[in-house]
Amino acid sequence: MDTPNRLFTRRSLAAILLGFSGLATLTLFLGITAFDQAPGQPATSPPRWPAATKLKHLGGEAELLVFVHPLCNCTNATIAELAKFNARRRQVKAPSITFIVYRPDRNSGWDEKSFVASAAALPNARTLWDDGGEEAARFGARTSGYVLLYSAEGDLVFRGGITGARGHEGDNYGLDALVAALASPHASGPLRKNPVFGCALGSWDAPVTVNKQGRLALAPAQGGRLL
Amino acid sequence: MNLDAPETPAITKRSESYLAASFHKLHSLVDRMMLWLLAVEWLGMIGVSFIVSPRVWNGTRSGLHPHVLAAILAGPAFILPAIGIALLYPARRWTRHVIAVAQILVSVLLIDCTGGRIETHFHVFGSLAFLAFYRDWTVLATATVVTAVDHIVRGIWWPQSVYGVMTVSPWRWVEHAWWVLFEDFFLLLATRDSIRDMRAVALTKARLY
Repeated sequence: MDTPNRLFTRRSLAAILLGFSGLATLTLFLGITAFDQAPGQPATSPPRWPAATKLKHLGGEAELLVFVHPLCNCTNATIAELAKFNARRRQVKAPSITFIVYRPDRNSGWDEKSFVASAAALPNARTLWDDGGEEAARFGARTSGYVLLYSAEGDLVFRGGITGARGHEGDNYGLDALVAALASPHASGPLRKNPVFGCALGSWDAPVTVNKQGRLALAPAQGGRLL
Repeated sequence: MNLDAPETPAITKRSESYLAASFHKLHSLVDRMMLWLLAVEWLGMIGVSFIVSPRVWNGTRSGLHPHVLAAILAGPAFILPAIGIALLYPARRWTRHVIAVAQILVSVLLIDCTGGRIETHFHVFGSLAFLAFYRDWTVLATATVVTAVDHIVRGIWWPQSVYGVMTVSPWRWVEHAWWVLFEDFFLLLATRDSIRDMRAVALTKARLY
């Protein structure tokens, strides 16, 4: 039988160390998995191309809007998935892709640090800076990697993310849904959607709602400002 | 001294003793090597996490990315304990198994932190090669089982984190485990040959001295 002063032998120390290690390792992996799999806040987007936006609807072709945070590493995964999207759309005419890149203001100094160059390298793509996240708010984008597909007629046919987890490239339901939405972009069909995995575009804690005029509004706690 | 003389019980006993000493020396050496390897991998993993995903953002605010935090915490969670066990109990059988588990966990965390990139899976094969230095098939078995269990569990609940895709066959883990076993097979062949050489050297030494 162990006497009190023999309790902490090398063997018992090793057992304690391994016990702690097992628990800590399990917690670590569960924690990191929970983070990777946690989607961004739910979002609502205008079912028709909003009139208030400064973005001009080109018309005649489907338009893909991609809202990104330029410093969020998950953006790389979204860009990689868009490259696959281009390969998977087959005979369907390519939509124009617009990256709406969030930055606090013109003087934020984020321009040089961003993923904009790789985004712009995609065919038929352009990037626009979104100072203060105004356009993101108009379109209801709350999380980096939020993708909207509007049909040539201006109807929303897809909204959500096209990655399966934070920063994870690879086949996922969002990309499948986007490809399907492009193949049959009719307003009468079901709106295809998917959770978004990425960094928050703004510091909004309350849901964005759509009012009767089809305009987006922040909840009263956020000032209730119509955008 | 006749090297072709028949083995006597005394020679056999001396030979076994020399072989055990050789294994002890080998295992101590590999324990030290793995100890340093784990330490370097820990720093490397922190560096990779800093490069791949340094910060997580909420608008204009940012904080340390959880992947960086996970890489840092991997030290106290399983790397430093494995190093501690290697220092407390060098050349013990179970020390080798603790190190094997820690080494594969490094692979698992790296795979997750790099978004399930298929290229990062090569780290598992490198790890098996390092663990084969122990010339102990049970260590390779432990590493293989940990790899398979990780792939089974995450393949069922979080396939994207291990395979990089969300839609996988429930038997995808078998394919990954098969490639691990494929490497194990050749490592075990090399291990068997190495042990045979060690036995021959021990026997020769027993006959000489």
